[in-house]
Amino acid sequence: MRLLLALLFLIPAPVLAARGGVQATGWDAEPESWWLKGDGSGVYLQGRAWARYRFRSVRTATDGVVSDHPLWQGFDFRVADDRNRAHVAFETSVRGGVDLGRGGFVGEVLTAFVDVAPEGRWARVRLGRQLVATNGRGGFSRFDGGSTRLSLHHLLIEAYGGTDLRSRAFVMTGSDSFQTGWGRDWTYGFAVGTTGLRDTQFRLGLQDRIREGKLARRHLSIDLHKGIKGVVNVRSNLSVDLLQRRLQEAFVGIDARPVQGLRVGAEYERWQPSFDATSVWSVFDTDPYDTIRGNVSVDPARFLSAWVSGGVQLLPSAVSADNVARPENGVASGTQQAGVRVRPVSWLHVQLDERILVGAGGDKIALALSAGARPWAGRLEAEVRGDLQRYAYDLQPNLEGWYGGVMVSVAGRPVPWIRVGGRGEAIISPFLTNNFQAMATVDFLLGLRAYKGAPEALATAWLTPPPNTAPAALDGGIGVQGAHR
Amino acid sequence: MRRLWVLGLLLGLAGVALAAPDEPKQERSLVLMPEQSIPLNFDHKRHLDQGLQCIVCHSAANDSTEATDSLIPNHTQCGLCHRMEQPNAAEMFPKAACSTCHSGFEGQPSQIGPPPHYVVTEGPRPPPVHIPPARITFSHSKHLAQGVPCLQCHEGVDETQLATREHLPTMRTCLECHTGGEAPSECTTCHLQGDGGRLRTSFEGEVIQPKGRFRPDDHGDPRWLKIHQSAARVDTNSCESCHATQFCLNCHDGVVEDTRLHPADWVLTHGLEAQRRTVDCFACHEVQADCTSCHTAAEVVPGAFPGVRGEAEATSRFHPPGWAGVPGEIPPADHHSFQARRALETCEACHSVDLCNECHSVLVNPHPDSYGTEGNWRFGQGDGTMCLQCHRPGDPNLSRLGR
Repeated sequence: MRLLLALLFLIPAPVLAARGGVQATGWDAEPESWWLKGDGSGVYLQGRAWARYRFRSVRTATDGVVSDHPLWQGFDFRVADDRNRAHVAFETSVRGGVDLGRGGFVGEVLTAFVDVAPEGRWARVRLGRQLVATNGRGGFSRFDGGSTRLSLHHLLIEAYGGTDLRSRAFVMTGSDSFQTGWGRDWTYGFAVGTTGLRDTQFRLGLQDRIREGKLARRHLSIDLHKGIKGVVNVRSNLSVDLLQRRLQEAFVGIDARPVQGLRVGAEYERWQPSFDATSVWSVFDTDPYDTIRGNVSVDPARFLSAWVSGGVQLLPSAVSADNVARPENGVASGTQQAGVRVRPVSWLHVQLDERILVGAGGDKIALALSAGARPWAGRLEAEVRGDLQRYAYDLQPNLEGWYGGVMVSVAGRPVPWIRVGGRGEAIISPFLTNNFQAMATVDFLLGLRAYKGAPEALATAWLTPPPNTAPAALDGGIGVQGAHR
Repeated sequence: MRRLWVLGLLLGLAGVALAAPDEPKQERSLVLMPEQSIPLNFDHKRHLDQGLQCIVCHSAANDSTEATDSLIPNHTQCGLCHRMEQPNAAEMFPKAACSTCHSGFEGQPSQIGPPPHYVVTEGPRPPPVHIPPARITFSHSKHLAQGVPCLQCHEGVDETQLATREHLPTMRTCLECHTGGEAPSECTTCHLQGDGGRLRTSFEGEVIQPKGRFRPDDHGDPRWLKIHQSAARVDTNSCESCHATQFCLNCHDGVVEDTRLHPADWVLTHGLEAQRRTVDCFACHEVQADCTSCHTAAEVVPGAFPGVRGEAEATSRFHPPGWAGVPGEIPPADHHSFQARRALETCEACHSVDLCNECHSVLVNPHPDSYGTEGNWRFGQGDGTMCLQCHRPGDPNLSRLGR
């Protein structure tokens, strides 16, 4: 019964496709994106329903075997008026999961918001469950509330607030299942910065988090990016935990492209973790560390890329509370990585990666070989990967050994609005002797557009790009034909 | 000493930035400006040296509002000077034989219709000219009305013979004037627009993407997946020019691990990386959601390992024997405190603070000797909520601190 209910997620797409008065725009050929780009002239609806079934078997620490086979499904939906006037849109993404062996259906609304913007899009108000890119390493913040963004010439002003959400996972322990998560905190923040400047990006943001009625975090983050002569980009960030009066991160990096096809970069970072002021974690002081990294990548030809990078991390000397030094822990570690990627044709690539780690924390050498293909305009996707690595560390001898794994993935689009795929992984290690995972996915997706004056438009999907996007070419004359209107 | 080399590094970075050479010759996107095939003889320099103005031949530019409009002169324009109908077209000035323009094509004047259109009526045809339209939006009419000289955008045409895609303007050329003032600088000013006002980035399977010319957004950088957070944070508007929110969720809230970032054996080796912090786990992952769920399923959790809390005969498969130490004894090198101080957030990945309190509230004082003294900023911090995690109200230690 649960399975049937879950599969209901998959129904909307083909049902909508069968209705008249709209045109199904099919799968976008753009890699990794399923939104079909339209022409900005109408009201459109886009949706995707997907299902992913995974079987996982893990040999546990107590030598038992734990298997789970959750079925995840989701539905994404967007309806908008993209004509060049006041913009109104609604967008939502929901998903649900059930373990077919144990039950325990979990439903979740990832996003659901309404966007309103005036003509010219110089302002935007978003209400509902949404994401904002926040300060420092906090990355995203997902919350229920409101946000606004004003783009006043080159001045950007952002403000947001609401109840903060944490991604909830579906956890199974024996016969029990539960949702993880930190519950709801209040969060609010604002930022000022620049927008639309060619070579300069600046943002100053302040974010507060209220937990259990108390101010738990107050983070200030300043970002400055500067492009110089089209050759050099400088990135910098300063993040401060104002409540704990701690410099959380200071970062500066420089990337240069002195000649076509060559990238050279260097970075410095100081990092010290900080925790909520209401948390006991804050009592246990932590050491900052400094990292310096460098990287070089070259694209000598359209079909070939290669890169190498390395860095050093410096840690404080390990000294116990009794002032006993422990030099065995080391104060520095080094890392070096290199890779080469060959793309003989646009739809095929082969990549080889190598990595070495030495110093504090142990020694490691690793090699990975992968290949991927997306022939027939991406309608078939195949990927294989193999990894092998050796790890050794005197202070954690129980983790020493050879680690490895292989992965095979195949997916295809028999018709533009359906994608089916499967993936298998096998992993070996001295720690968990085996781990096997197989996954099957089915995606339905579709875009619908109501065309002005064409209510009888067909409910068909394009196997090839729409005619108004086909490139124009000449045959036997001078001039051009066709249009991107 | 450390400050010195950090200072040196910063000065070095500044020096490199200041000494940066001018931008290398910028290649035009083959997606936006596809390859052309122009089997013609033509000398722009010679025509301009004769005193001709661009608009004489490219008269359609006056009324052109789209990049897809054909502005290439046809027989009618050429025929204003090159009298193709004349029987001695090959000898007269200016020459007007077929091969004068169509390289290697020996047609006959009889194939050409009368002026002014000079329609080709019969016989073999010259090799085709293939000039795909630029996939941008552009109005020659507007620019001419503003008095923009042709050579400002089509730089070098006056010094060349055949004009090709190399004489089309680059994005940097456009942005010389389109700074957001009188000339708008929105992406959609030039780029084709798609649904929701976002840019159209895909053209028959070929994709356009930023190359880092104006900001650190080089999507072709091998590190892009790992470093994109910074660019996304500082200029979200730029990201949203092409990407919808859903695009972020595909990875950030995906239920499928992305093997582009993590190798296939990642599930077993990520702990090593997390401890080494060669990657920033928390740029993408939530500790409780992403870490705890899998660890619980695999029983790599507290309580699953006998001996991790100080038993002498520890048999933990993850933490080494002696990890917890023995209260009162000098901690060994593999004592958890050293790892904790270096990477406390990795402890948080598995453990709640209750585990710490089991020992540190009874056997081992977590506070350093200097705690609570003047100058220790933690003293008196906040409203004491953190203190009450361990100390009960009325605790004399709290009273001493004024709590």
